[in-house]
Amino acid sequence: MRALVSTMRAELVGAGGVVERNYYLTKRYIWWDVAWFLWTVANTLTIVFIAKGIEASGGNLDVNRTMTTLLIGAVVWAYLGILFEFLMETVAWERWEGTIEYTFMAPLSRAMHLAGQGVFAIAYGLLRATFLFAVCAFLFFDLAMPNAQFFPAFVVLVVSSVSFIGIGMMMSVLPLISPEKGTQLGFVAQGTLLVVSGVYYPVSVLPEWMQWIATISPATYALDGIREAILEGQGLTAMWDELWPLMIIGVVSIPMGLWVFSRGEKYAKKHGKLKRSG
Amino acid sequence: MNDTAVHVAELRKVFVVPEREAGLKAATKSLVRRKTREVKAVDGISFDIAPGEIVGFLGPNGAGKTTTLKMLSGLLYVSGGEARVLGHVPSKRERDFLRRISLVMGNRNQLQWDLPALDSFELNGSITGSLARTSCATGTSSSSYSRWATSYVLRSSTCGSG
Repeated sequence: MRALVSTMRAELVGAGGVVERNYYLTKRYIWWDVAWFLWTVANTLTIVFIAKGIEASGGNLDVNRTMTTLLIGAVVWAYLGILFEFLMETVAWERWEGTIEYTFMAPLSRAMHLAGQGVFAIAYGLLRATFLFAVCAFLFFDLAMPNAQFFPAFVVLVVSSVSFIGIGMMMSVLPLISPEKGTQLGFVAQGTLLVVSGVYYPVSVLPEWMQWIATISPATYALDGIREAILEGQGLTAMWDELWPLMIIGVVSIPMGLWVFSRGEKYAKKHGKLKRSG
Repeated sequence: MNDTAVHVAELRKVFVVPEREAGLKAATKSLVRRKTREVKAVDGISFDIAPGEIVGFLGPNGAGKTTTLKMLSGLLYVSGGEARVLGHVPSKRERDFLRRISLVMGNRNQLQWDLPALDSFELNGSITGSLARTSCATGTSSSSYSRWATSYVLRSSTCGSG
């Protein structure tokens, strides 16, 4: 029992070390983060202005509602991008830093190593997404959200994060098994989620085969839930249809992500891919 | 066996590497039928190292020195033979083994390029345990050390963390 407690403590301390490293790196490059944030704000504004553009060219639509719908899509997508970037680049950054061998030699289980990456990504991503939403919704557009329930929207985003982390773990194995092509394939997978998950349009406008992929994308349920909370003022109980698929995808994707990563690590150790250069 | 820190017997590592000629035609062909060849990186070496013994491991480029050390630290799986370090099989990644070893390689960086050395040292300390933290706390009492320790390893920052 004592040994188990000691092992668990060491694992938590190790995972904390991974969070700490990401914190230090973010602090080190804080002006880059400011620049990326401003870029994301500009990108989000461009998307949200589309609603005004349609109205200006004679389109008949509820501008405030459409702008809010687009804003939610852009913010959730920006959040997802941050999570996937942190997870997917777990291996790629270590290679660039030249520390990959040492990290993989650390007395820390892979589950806790990846959990440390995930925890920091969620904390950092939530912070950036909240700022992005606030700046665009209230500073630039002064959008009216009379029914908005922000707490349920936040809960949906946090619950969906578990699924995103699981998928991110599966993607992060790609640079491990293929140093030259892995990261590129990760972007292809991320792009597929962007198209099918209804980020800027309803899933119903997609071809049927894409709608089928949308049913297994956690982003679809996250976006539906958050839009229901902010536009319709739905509470958590009314969002069960979105929450249970997210929980199931989360419960399946985390162990699957760990399994895929462990298979990738074994492959890398067999074929000598665990090194700084390709 | 008990009086050896490192035991290596008939250790082998064979890599299977793709073999392809230059040009677009060869690249396309390799997608369908990939030619490979075996490269013997380590070919049946044996030695024992006693606890406390200091050993020089010398050889020309490509002799398999780093490959051997990577197998001894669990970063590479062996293709054949036996390797035991401090009584452990390295590839099993047992915590007790990982806490007791270290490997410093040429042209590799144990410090994070983007962090002050002190931050990297504290980070390694928080992962590996209290020993490094104690050393760190002792080390920072020297002012010249402090100046070095708080400098960034990579001074010119041209890349972002996103």
